[in-house]
Amino acid sequence: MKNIIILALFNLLAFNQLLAQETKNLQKQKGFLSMNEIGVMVSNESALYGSPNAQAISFHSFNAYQAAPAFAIGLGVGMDSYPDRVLMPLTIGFSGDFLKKNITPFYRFLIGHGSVLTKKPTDNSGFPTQDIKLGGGLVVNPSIGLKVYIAEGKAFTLQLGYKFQEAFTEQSFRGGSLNRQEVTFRRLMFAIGFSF
Amino acid sequence: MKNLNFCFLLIISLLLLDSCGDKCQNLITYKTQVPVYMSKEQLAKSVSSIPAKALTNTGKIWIYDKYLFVNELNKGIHVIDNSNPNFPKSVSFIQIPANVDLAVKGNVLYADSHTNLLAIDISNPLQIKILETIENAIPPRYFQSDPSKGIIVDYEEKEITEVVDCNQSYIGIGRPAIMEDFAVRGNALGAQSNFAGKSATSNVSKGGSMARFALYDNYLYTVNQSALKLFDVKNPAKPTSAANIEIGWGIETIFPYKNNLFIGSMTGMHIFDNTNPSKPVLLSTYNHFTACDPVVVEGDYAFVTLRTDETGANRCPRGVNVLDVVSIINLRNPTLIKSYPMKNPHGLGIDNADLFVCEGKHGLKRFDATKLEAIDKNLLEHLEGFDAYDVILNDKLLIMVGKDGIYQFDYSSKKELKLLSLMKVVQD
Repeated sequence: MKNIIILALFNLLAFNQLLAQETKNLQKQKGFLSMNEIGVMVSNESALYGSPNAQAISFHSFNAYQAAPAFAIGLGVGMDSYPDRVLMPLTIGFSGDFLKKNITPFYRFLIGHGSVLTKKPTDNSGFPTQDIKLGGGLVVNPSIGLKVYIAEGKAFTLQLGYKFQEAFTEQSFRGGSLNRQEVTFRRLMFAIGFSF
Repeated sequence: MKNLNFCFLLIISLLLLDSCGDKCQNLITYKTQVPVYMSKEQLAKSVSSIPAKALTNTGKIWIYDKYLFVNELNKGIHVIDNSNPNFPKSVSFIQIPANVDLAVKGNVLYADSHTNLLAIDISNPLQIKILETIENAIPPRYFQSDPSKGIIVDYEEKEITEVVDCNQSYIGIGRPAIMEDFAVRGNALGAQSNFAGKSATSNVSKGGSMARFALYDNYLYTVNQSALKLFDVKNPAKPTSAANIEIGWGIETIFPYKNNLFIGSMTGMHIFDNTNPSKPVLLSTYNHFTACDPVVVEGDYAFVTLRTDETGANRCPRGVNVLDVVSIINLRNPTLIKSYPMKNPHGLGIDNADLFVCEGKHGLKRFDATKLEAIDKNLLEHLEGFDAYDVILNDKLLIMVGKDGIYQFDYSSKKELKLLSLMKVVQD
């Protein structure tokens, strides 16, 4: 896994050399920026699901005001589908291109709060459950990637990121006992998308 | 510069890779009873009187003269001036760790404290004085699992949170094992009713039918799980061990009546001839279902309530909810006259066929027991809306203990109980 990542990052360096050959700059300079992507999130191991069946699918949209090619600030919303629950992160963040070229690496940093959209019933405790409460928590999602501009302000994106995401389930039982399951997803995220 | 950017990102990414992997933990939170430890030295030093404080977890009751003594489970004894039952007034609180039972003779209070029997001078309830301590007079009520920490004097409820990895299975939402507490069952779950000890003085001195301490003649009778133990209190200030009589398992209460002792156990009622107060002799045993069973006696009849445990603690397995009327005309051969179904009968008391039965959360019932075979048809009154655990009857004054507090009623009118006062229990 590590080798793949290292290789990918060195490839980015190679693209960096090609940038000098570009001529017309198609980068968005200012205004509304929308980055939309679909990705997969993986982890080495999962205390919750075991391994290897731990992949999650992520849809995400980041909509921002771009002040300059190197800096845009805005809001993100997404849907992260884990094997037993779907979380919806709402984030605030910033993004920007590293270079003033048509093929450029970019960065993005998002932070916010995730909430639970759905969770599959997985209560096998055998105890009579009075109430189940579901919730999310902190979301932190830094990423880097590559933008390939194909038209004025429009680009395909390749993204490598890390997602830290908290969630919990609370089950209360007769007699006042409470079982709170706290999950912290710490995932590598690979995504492809389109920005305009 | 560009290369520096990429190197920086590369390093960050590699660091992130190392922290990949979902984390998961279960936080199991539950309330449980945890032991309160105390050293023997602390136990001895803790006995003292302090200003009056609110009732929180009432236990057994004793009335002596104008005073009402109310056990605060494992904490001590409230001294209440009850000269005017309309306005009972707390006088002081005697701190006695691990105390459950009590009896009063003259100005001497007998109380248990863990395995000790204490004789305490209460002539000034605000400044008590320990007169005598008899060690190992009473068997320990709690299983002493870790003697290195001291002795267990109480259990208190605590909220515990255990952190368990999601990969680990967690079995049970458990409580620690607590030794079956016969001493407490008598009153905390049970009942009391009136018995009049043959006091050395002319003052009224009464405990409950579920009490494990009783005074008669010059003796203090105590029962533990399996035995009847006598203490000579001819000199009230200096009790001495007198006799130990093994009876059998599951002993709960002692009720002296005339020249007999009626000892309630989980499986039956033992009748002792107490003509010689220093040597009670077993006459017979009336067997019943395994149940919690306070007993009172009037004339030639014993009234026994049997109940199931509605608290969920399963202390009275296979119990039934009935009032048994037992003929003791022949003390060597007690016979059942009739059994009446009840809701969840606890303590009871009888005074001239005026029978009061505490029905736990179902309130208090009053029967005319003149016709022993038709008690159910002579329900005079049923007060509901409160918990009724136990009663003491004294000269037309009914003192009832419930979860809400201590109720006092005037029962001189056959038509209606008249509430005189309520001393409320304050939750911790």
